[in-house]
Amino acid sequence: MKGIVFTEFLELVEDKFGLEVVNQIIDGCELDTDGVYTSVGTYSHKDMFKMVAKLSELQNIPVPDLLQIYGEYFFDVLSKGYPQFMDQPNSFVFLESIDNYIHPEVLKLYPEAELPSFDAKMNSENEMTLLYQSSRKMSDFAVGLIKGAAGYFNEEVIVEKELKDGDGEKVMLNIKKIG
Amino acid sequence: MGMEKKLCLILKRLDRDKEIENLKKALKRQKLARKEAEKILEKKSMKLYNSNQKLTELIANTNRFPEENPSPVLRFSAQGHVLMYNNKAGKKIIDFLDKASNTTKKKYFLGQLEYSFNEQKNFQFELAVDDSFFLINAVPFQSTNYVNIYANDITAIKKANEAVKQSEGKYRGVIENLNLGILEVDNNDKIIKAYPQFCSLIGYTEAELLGKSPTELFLDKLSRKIMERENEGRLKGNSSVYEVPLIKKNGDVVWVIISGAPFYNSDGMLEGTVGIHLDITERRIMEADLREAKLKAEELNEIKEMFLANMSHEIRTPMNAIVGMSELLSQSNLDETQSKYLSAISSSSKNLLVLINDLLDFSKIESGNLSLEMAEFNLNKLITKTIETVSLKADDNGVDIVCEMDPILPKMLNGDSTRLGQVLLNLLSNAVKFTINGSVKTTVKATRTKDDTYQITFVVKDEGIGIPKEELGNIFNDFSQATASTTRLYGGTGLGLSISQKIVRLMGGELEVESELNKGSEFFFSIELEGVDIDNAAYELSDNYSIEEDFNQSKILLVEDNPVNSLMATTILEKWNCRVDLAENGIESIEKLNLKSYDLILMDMTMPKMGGIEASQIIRKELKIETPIIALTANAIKGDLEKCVAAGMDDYLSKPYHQIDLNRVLTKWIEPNKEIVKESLINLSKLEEMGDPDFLEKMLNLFLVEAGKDITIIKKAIEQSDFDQIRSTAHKMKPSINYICIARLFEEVKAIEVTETNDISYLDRVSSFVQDLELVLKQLNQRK
Repeated sequence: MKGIVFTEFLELVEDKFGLEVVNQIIDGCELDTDGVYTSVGTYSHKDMFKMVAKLSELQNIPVPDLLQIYGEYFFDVLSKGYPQFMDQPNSFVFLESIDNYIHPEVLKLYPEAELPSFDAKMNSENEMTLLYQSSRKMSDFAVGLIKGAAGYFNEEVIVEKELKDGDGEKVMLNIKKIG
Repeated sequence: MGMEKKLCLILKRLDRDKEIENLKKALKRQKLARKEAEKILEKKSMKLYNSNQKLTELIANTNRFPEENPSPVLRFSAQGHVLMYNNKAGKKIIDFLDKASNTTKKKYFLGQLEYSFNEQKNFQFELAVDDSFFLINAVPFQSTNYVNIYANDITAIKKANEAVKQSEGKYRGVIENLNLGILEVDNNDKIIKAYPQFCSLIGYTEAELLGKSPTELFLDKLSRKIMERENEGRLKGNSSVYEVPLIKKNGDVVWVIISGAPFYNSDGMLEGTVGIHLDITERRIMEADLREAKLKAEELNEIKEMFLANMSHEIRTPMNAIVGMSELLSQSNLDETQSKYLSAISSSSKNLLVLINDLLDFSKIESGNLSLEMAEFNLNKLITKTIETVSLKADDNGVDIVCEMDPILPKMLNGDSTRLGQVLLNLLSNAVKFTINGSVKTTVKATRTKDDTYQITFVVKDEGIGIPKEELGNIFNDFSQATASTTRLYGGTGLGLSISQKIVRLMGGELEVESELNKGSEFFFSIELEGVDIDNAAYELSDNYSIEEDFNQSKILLVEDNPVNSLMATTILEKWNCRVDLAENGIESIEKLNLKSYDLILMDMTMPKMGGIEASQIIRKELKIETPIIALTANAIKGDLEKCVAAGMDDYLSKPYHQIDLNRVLTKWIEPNKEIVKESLINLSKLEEMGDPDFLEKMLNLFLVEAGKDITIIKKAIEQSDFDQIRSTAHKMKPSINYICIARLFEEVKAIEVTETNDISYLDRVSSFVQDLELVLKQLNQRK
């Protein structure tokens, strides 16, 4: 998992809950890196899960909620860092371009990256489905990112999750525009 | 300070310590993170450096100078200097391109180079260096600031192209100067191209013709059909040649001969047809003139033939009278002088007849009307008869005629005996005419070529005056005789040999001559004749024909307008015991036939009021009378006999006719009174005892020939009171008379041979014997 996911996460925690909580999380989890992350590095996704789970325990907020919130926040970071990918008319077209355009380009820059796949299908003008597939089982993070994208294009969406297998490696995401 | 305050301060310090502790931890993490990031960046930049190295190498590789290229390659700087070149780039091209010369070509080259470099485009152009041509391919490399020049030597291709162009140009020039109009038409009958000659031929400009249909533009309805048919064939890929009239722009007609052929595109697909037009208007006009001239000539020829026919009629009619009357006169009582005069008249008229016949034959040959009439004939008899005909003259000239026949010859042959006889007579009479006191030898040799076909060579050799060498080539020419003096000395038209030659050629042979001056001449020719199986041989007319003198009051209708001719015929016919009625024209003949029936009708052809042909048609078709009609015709032109037969006539007599000819016709068509034959003078028992009927027949035929000759000889001998001749002939005849005749005649011939007295009574006895012999011949003929 790219280092930026970790650095941005810890920054968000420090922002919202203070350095004390950051230290509690790092001290409370047995991390491979002892909490040292740089955005250009690559780290185990298990560390990420450990930290999110610790934060949930400390703040009494469910993991999925945390992941969604973080997803929404993270999209904002990405859209600012990589504006060349954002030149799209609306969120649906943007989402459709992930598998075809954005991820292939990411792989050119980081050949070792392991990226989820998003099979996109347009159902109507206001409804699309994305089939999320990843061994990381981070569909909630994906939902947050989708919401972030909608926010970027000044849209409001409802995302419904439908597990296609038992443990969340394959999840159908139904996206509806509202308003 | 109170406890609370102290505790508060301690708590605050503790909080601050805690905060400091947290900050220290965070700072430590940040330092470590920075170092790690620096490491990662170091690694990335190393990687980037390596990639860049690889990329540079790759670009260098791509731009590597192609040393081993099989064609000359040169690398030029953007300023036009040669940087590198491979070993294929000869000194010539390097010098040419690198020299700081200011030639136009160099400027052109540099200009191209500059263009290629500025535009950063591959660029191709042709460049001539001395005798060589190069196709230059310029490949610019801006990154490295040079242009690669690939020079392909295309001299051979160029030269081949030049040669093709030249030859095309040459043939185009040739074709355009040939006065041939060439037109290309596509598959939809639209003109694609019209060459200048065609335009000037038809009077349109090419622009006026393009896209038009030549069929609609140039052709009338009739020609269209021809053209359409030809075009169909052409589109199927067939070439053709034909003639059509084309309508010019100004409405005139130009006749052309068109040679059309399909042409194909490079894929082998039929693209259209090309027509080559040759103006033949002049020729067409000439042809029309010639046709007209030919028609006129044919018309004139017909007029000439008509004239000849009429003339021959006009001449023959009085000749008929002269010949006939002479014959009648000779049978009356004449004194010696009168006989002499009459003989002169008779021979002169006969000569005149020969002349007329020659002229007629000549004109027939000239007009291509002479044809052979094939029939069975006895060659032996034909030759015997011919020899007989010239024997009088031969005797006068002291000429001994010898004849030698090839024994393999069959008795009967199939051929035109009249014409063959004519040739032989001509050769023999010439031989006799030009020989004084010598011999004339006729030889007939034969070889069997097929089962029933014989190659027969006739040779007539004389011991006469001969023909000068320089004249030998001319004697077969028309109206030609060996020398001018010949005509003075010997007479003749000079047509005889020419006619003979033409007849022989018609028979498939060639009349040839060998001659030595004052020694003699030898004429010979060789023809192929078919033999006739003796069993199939038709009834053979005997040449030893004896005149039938009693027709037992047969009723004859003589239709003749000329009083002299009718007097002559009547006189002869009445002598032969016929009853003759006379009609002066066709109408009278029909009137007579309506009143009475006849045994035979003798019908003249040309008569006033109604001619013989018309009368015969009426007799056959309207009166339905089947009485034999014999045409008396003086028109000895081919086609007369056919007209007679078509009109229903049965036979014809060509005027002037001899008594014997008339007698033959009568015998043929009227049953003569057979009772006249009294006792039989023949006795064949000796021959029959031999039991070989073939041998018997041969003996009889031989006798008929030989006895006929002997009779002629004896008769002449009587006239000349040549007693020795009579005795020697009697001696010669004796054995055959012993075998064939009754004993009385044998005794008689023996007596004639041995009787010593030379007086009138002896001659009377011989005459009587000859009469008996003639009766023998007649009886032998009747026996058949």
